Amino acid sequence: MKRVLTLLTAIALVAACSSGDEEDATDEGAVDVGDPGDCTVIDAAISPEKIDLVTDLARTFNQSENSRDGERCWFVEPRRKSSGAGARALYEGWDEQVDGPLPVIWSPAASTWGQVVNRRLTDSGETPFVPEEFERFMLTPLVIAVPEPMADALGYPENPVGWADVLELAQSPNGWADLGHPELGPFRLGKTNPNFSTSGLSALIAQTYAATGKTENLTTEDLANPAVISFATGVESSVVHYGDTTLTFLNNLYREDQRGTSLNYVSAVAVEEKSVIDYNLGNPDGVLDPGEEPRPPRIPLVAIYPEEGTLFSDNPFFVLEADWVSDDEAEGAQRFADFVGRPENQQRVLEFGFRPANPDVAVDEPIVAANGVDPAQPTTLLEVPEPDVMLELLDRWELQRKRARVMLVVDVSGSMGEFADPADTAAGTRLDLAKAAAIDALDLFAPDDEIALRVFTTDINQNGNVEETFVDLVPYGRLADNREEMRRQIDGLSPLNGTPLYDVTAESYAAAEETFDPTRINAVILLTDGVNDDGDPSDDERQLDELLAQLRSGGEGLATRPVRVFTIAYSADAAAGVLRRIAEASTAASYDSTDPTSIDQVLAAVVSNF
Amino acid sequence: MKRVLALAVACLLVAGAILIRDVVTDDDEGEVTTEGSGGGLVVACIPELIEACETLDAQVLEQDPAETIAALAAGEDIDAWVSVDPWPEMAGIIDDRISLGVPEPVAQTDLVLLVRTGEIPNGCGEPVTWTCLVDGLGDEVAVPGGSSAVAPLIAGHAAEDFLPGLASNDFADPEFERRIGDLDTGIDDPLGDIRVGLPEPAATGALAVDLPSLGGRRSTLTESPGRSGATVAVVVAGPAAQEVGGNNAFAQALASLRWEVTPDAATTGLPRAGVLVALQDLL
Repeated sequence: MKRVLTLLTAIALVAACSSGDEEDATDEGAVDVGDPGDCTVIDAAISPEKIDLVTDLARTFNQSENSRDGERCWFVEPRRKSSGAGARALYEGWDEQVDGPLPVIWSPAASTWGQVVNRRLTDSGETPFVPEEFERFMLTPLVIAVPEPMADALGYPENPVGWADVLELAQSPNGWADLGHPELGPFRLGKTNPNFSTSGLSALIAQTYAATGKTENLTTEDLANPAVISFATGVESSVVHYGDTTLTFLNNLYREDQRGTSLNYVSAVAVEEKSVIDYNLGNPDGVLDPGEEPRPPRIPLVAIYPEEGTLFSDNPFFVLEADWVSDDEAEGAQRFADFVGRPENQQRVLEFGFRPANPDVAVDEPIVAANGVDPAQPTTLLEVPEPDVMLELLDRWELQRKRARVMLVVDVSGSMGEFADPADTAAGTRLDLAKAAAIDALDLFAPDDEIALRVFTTDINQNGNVEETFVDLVPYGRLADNREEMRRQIDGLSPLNGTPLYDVTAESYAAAEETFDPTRINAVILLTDGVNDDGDPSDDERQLDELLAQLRSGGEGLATRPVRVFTIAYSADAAAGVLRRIAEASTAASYDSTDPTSIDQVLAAVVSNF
Repeated sequence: MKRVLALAVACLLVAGAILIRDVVTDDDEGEVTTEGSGGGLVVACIPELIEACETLDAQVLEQDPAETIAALAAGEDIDAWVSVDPWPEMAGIIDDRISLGVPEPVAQTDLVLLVRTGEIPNGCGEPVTWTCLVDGLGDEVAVPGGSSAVAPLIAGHAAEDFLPGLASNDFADPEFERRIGDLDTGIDDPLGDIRVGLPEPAATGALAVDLPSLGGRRSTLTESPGRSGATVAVVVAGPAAQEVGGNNAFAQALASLRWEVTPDAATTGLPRAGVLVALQDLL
């Protein structure tokens, strides 16, 4: 529970990785819809995947007669707010300095978040204010996306496929060979952290229902059933890593597809149907950044709708029944909710790969077979569990999730002694903040995760030998056994000399690979505030090329021992582009803490991968 | 001290020859020069064009693009920004608080490739291409690194040749990855290195080249046969764009620096601005 609360607390300020997200936790802020004049402003907190569409609709609404009634008028101002961050802010206390204006409308990706908020409020003795009646804006079901050759191996769609098949493949030492396809290697699953990601939460609910054979009325007793526990543990054992967003998987898969090695990364990913469409159209994260062009992948994905049933992300429009919402604001908000439900506006959601919530609007392009999806599916829908069941589910996931073996590699170069915020020296140095964040992050691991601590700088032993570049302060060991030693060692760190980034990353990766444990997620977390500076710049380019080749080769072939290097660009001086390339080469993710004061939240996001 | 960088336009089609000229003296970025009568306008100017900018009746700020972008994002008063296209658009991508509108085109030059005499790889036809050079010479082919305005443009020209129609989501293409990885991007001023007699690089690209000014180094370089297919335009962006862009003294100074003054000036043959930003990040 502590981990759940801590993770949810961290959601609001997490710096997401480079890729986009259906739930990009730091992608927050106002959008420009013009001047409200004298109209009543309707502040709307909107989840990132639909902010562009809602903004467009808001502009139209604000300029239309729908926003007027005689002398009265309303003006909708959308603000990007990730679902988890919005939920946390609502039940912990909305801080307008941090979270923006108090929302009248809250639209997370799924209505399950509303249940979480109401339950938290009730538990803390407050009156719940997320309405039980609400408009649904648009829909997208959770699917299991598999590369086409693997869908063919499963016999899908002729053969129904579901979580039971996932379990069978996950538990088989032969992997895809059991289906007559040894060339596809072991079964590898991509699945996000349910504390951060709507898709991750929906997948967890769906796989649990599959374990029970039910489609409704999931109970806490069901969760305690040993067969259900075994099912869950079996599925989780095949996970390659978790994370705060499915888009990490999709962007990594797309890059590997360009290299012709996508089948080595994952066999299946639990994502929203909309993401399968985006991927197959050549836009894996659903956002075309400047410079990007849609490039269909060599191997498309097929959306499998689990035969046991699935859930929709239903994008609710909650008009909050909170004490800060006036009757006038509520009326304006409902007018906007009615407006977006109109057929002509619902038609727009199709452009983004979502299904209209309005049943009078037909599901149409791009939700077609040519894009790897089936508009006639899903045929079985699952009931959203009661809040207490969901919270129990999340608690049990902490026990069932795949365990990790992580080397924390921390830069202790001289620049880490600089103030994190020169305008606020009382906040401490970069190293001060990193130490505090690292110690806090220990609480986010499971007691039986295996953690090691390595620090690096040139002349690490302070004896004049610049080629001694790192020291292992704490060897791999169960966190439960090493926690106090980890704290002590982290607390004792001091800034020293140069930054042998490439050499140490290579060595750390090799060390992790050498002691690879196939039953765990094997990873390196690399935190640095600078660029490679080992005293000899003449070979930097060669060193980086060799490092990237080393990381890529570790993920190639069927018998890989994948060690993922998650990088943190800590401070504006960090070589963010290089760190992203390092992460991408190992099919991991890079994180942005160029504002050092965000390191606490960034580390929480990094640890969400485990 | 003042950094003077003069660019000359030279589209060289001599068989087996590529010309590079780069006159780089001292790096004194950000210096405010007040030559001219020090009029009310504040003009940011990339160092490569400072000689022309100094003909303006304005307070001239010599700045690499990163400095100007930071200044604009901070809301500093800059009436005009003299740079090369598509930097104004790139600025808006790098920091979405910046919106400079459509810039005023003033002049253009060809982007040319230069190779040391006798080192064009066998089999490279006309025009000699970046692809052929990199496949033959590997990391002896350099593009300017560092923070100059022309660095991403020349790298972009190479990248576009490696994969025509390049988008930023093509960067993982194996052949592109190999070639872009082979390019030497660690030299701020490849032509400058050639001018002072260093043995590398073997080939590079440049703008507004003045072959005769290479002096003793001229014999070491030949220009690639064939046109590179790329042009780069000088543009002025900002509220005073038309005023600055239409300034006769400014235009004449550009012409003397071997830029072709024309209202139809355009940057062509390079990837889109968004790709250049992503490529800059990659390199």
